Amino acid sequence: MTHDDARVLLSAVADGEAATTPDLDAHLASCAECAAYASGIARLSTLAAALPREPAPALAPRRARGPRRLVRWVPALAVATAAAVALTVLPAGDATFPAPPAAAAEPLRRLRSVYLERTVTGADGEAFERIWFRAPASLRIERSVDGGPVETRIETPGTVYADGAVTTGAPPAIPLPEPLSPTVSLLGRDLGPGPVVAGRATRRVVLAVGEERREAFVDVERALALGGDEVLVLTKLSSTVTKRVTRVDVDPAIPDDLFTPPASAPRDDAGFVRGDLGDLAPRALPRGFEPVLVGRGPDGESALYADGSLPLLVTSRPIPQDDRAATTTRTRGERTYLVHLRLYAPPEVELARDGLAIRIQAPLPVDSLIDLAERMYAE
Amino acid sequence: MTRDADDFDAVVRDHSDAVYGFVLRRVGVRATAEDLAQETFLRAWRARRSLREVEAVRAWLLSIALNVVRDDARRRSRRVAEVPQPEHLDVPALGDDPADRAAGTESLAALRDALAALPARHREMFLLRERDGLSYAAIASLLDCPIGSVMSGLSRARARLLEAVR
Repeated sequence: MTHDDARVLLSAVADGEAATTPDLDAHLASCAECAAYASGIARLSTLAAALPREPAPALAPRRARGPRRLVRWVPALAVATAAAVALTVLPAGDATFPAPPAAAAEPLRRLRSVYLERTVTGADGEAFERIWFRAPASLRIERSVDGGPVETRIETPGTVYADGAVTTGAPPAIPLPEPLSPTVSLLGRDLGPGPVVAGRATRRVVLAVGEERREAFVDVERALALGGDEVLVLTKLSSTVTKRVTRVDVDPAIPDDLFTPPASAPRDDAGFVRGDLGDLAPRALPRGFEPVLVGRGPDGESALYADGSLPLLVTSRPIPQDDRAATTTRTRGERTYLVHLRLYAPPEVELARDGLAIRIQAPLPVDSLIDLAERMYAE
Repeated sequence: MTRDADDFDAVVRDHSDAVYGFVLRRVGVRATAEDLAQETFLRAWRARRSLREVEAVRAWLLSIALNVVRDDARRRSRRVAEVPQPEHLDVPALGDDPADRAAGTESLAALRDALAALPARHREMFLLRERDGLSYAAIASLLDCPIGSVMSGLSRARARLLEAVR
């Protein structure tokens, strides 16, 4: 038996992958070097076990930093845009009042723009999405499935580009991209610590509304992180769909043309006309909120207000029959409010006034929404 | 493997170091390794019902990790780094941990340096065996080589490492 043969066998014997043989025993009895090798294997194992490992991340968020120094003009532009809209569409109220407590959504006031990438994996394959958002109401989503063609959706106040066509005069909607929705903080149930990644603690949160249920590993700062350098990144798991944010840039500079639909796309008129509110006009607005898009469409009146990226939508449209909505009631004084909760959409409260169903939607706690309704539509 | 989410979390906890280290040794960049390790567990979660041998969880996870790394390399249109930088060997610099001192800091440092100097394939065999506890068959499957190559490769790796720590 050669030295090499003996050492290969000794190594395998030490690992329990081979049994010793008479030839090997005889070789060891006469070869001090191979005997030292045999005893050294155990020492090597001890040393290898003592080697420190890199701490491993797991199914959890990563932190990301946005290029903040590039975007000083963005807040000014947002304010200027809001002011311009305010000049063309008169504010509905003649007074303001302090906004109610909204700790979970407070950083949205400071968020001016965000870019994020994510993968969405489900029964249809794996989709890759790129999302641009700029306060107060511009959103672009590019989506491709399994490397196929890119589908683009663009939303700006009053205009929606989707399926290759532009809908002008579209009623306003809250355009917050799903991963930034503070709904997880408002509606989620905290189940305790999640994994730690890059030294950053997470919480496991379950969102359960109606028949829908999602799990998320959320930065402990949750939505509070939205306005700062540390960014909320969700990894959502369910039996059917996994949505995983892979990159987030906070407050990047986003050029206007990303929110411009192709000029060649056919256009439809949704019939929404900007203008003063009638029956929907609130008596007052919370301080800091400016009108983004206000007017009337075939289904009723709508008004989108925003304070930074914190949106407030008021509509008089009928309640859609949405099976994901969980409707409950809440009483404040002599008024009864209907409460509508949906996954990844801000809560909504509804009150009856002059024969109209007025709905107020914002990423705020339900009690805060009712506070708003009490002030905006006082009897 | 259990199909219960809580038990899967335990699997993640038990094997995340091994998966992350395995990926890091191949991509050499921590941020990328984090992403790919995460992707590995997501794929494992979706494919958890395909696991037949509970004892082979780690080998199963590492085989998924290998596919994830390869897929990522294809997406990036570049080859997977076969020889990562020494600082990304999943063997970080030694600190003041009492366990380090007990085991002999000098020997550990020598072992770390010797590991970095090993041929990548032999280093991988050694770490998969000593750190991750994989069987020869599992190592052979992961590295796509005969079991005999694993036996000889491990033997040579140990010989080189022993010389370094004497």
